[in-house]
Amino acid sequence: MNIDLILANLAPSLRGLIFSLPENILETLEEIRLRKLRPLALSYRGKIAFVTARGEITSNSQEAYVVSPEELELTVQIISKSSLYAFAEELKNGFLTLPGGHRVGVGGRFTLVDGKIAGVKEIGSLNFRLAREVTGCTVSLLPQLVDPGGKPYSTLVVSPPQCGKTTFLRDLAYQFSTGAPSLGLAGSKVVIVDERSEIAGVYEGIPQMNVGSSTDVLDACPKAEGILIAVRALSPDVIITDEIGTSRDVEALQEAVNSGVRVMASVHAGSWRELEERPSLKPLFAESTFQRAVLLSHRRGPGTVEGILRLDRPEPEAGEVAEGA
Amino acid sequence: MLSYKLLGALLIVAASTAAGYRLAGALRLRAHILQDLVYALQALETEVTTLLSPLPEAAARISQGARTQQVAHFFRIFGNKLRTGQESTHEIWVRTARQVLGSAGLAPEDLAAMERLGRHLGRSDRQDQLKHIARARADLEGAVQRAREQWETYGSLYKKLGITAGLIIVLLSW
Repeated sequence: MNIDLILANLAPSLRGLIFSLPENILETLEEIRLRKLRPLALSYRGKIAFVTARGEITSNSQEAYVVSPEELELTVQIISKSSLYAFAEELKNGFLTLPGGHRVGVGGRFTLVDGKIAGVKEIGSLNFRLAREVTGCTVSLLPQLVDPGGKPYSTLVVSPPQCGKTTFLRDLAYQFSTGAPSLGLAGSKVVIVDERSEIAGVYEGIPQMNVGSSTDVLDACPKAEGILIAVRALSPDVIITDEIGTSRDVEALQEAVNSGVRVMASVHAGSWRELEERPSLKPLFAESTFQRAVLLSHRRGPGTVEGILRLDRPEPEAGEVAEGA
Repeated sequence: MLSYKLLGALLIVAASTAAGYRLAGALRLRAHILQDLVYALQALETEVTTLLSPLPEAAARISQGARTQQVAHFFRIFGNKLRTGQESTHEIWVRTARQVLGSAGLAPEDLAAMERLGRHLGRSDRQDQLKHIARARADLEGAVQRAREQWETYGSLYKKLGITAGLIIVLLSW
């Protein structure tokens, strides 16, 4: 990951502070948080820390460098190309995508028109979320995610937040799109329905992440509509989308599966039991929409594979966990 | 001897005539620049509210379409400085306006309309931007009107005064 690319979005004074942090922290940086008149914070390896005025790390917020209103404003100006009006649509969703596929979450006063979000005024905080690309992170699991006919199984990726679901899906997109001849896996037509622009990180029409050569991206497209558009218009072999949750998402996924498309999706859940109890997701399990589920955790760093469940048997049980990573 | 005196007299008349024309020319240039700024703000309004172009790109295009060198120069420098991300939009806008347009003969009240716009440019949604650009444009249209009147009233006067002053000096010193 090119750290300069993300630091170029910060006000020059903040850029210098972050840049003077030790290399091992920069390499594992997950988030940089700017809040007006509050300590400059970041997270790395799952920990929250603050940055001092000398560009050092501290756990004590009292010692931290305080972000000035001018620094926050200049940063907003840089990420919006001095043109907030041009990013109004993105801001309604609470974030902007940056070159490199990184994202900035925005906190501030949301304005409403007729009860719908019309925009954000008085931006008070920014959260730079660094996108990571770990090409090849799913290779060792691929044999378990491909059926004997060489087609991908429909797979659900399950984990709590910040455990690498999106990174996992991104690599699946790359692997299925490119193909893996050693596994008898031919390249497939992949469509990513990227409602939150996180999987492919499209910036000005170009995916900033390596999602494979035969991959189309429906960027910022609502999941349920996007899945149906993909089935109708792009004749995909595989559809990939993240963070499903509503009944409409579930119906669209089932529609895609019934049309012969394989689907890969992620879902937030602390445990399998928690997942099965969510009413909106129950039809997925009742009708075996997914054939495999991959459980991820943060136990040995993001992307720790806790197990792969087979869902195409009548009764998936804990004992059927196939393999840990 | 007479021929030297005649040559001197001619030079004096030519110099004061040129001075009169230069003053008249400055009035004309001010009106032209202000009119061009009105066109530029019209274009900016379209770029911002219809095309949703980011300011650096909008400024580059407006610079290319400008009719006067000064307005082209102003938008080119403004756009280029925005890309560096070192200063606020407002600071860049105001300083560039003073440097480029102020030195080209715009009056402080002309610049004030531009500076007011700079405080808001790029910092809000489309409707709000439209409001501020339209207001600056209306202020500048008023300034164009005043500049034209000045030019029409004083332009030919300065020219005539230039020649007359030269002749008077020659006559007095003959």
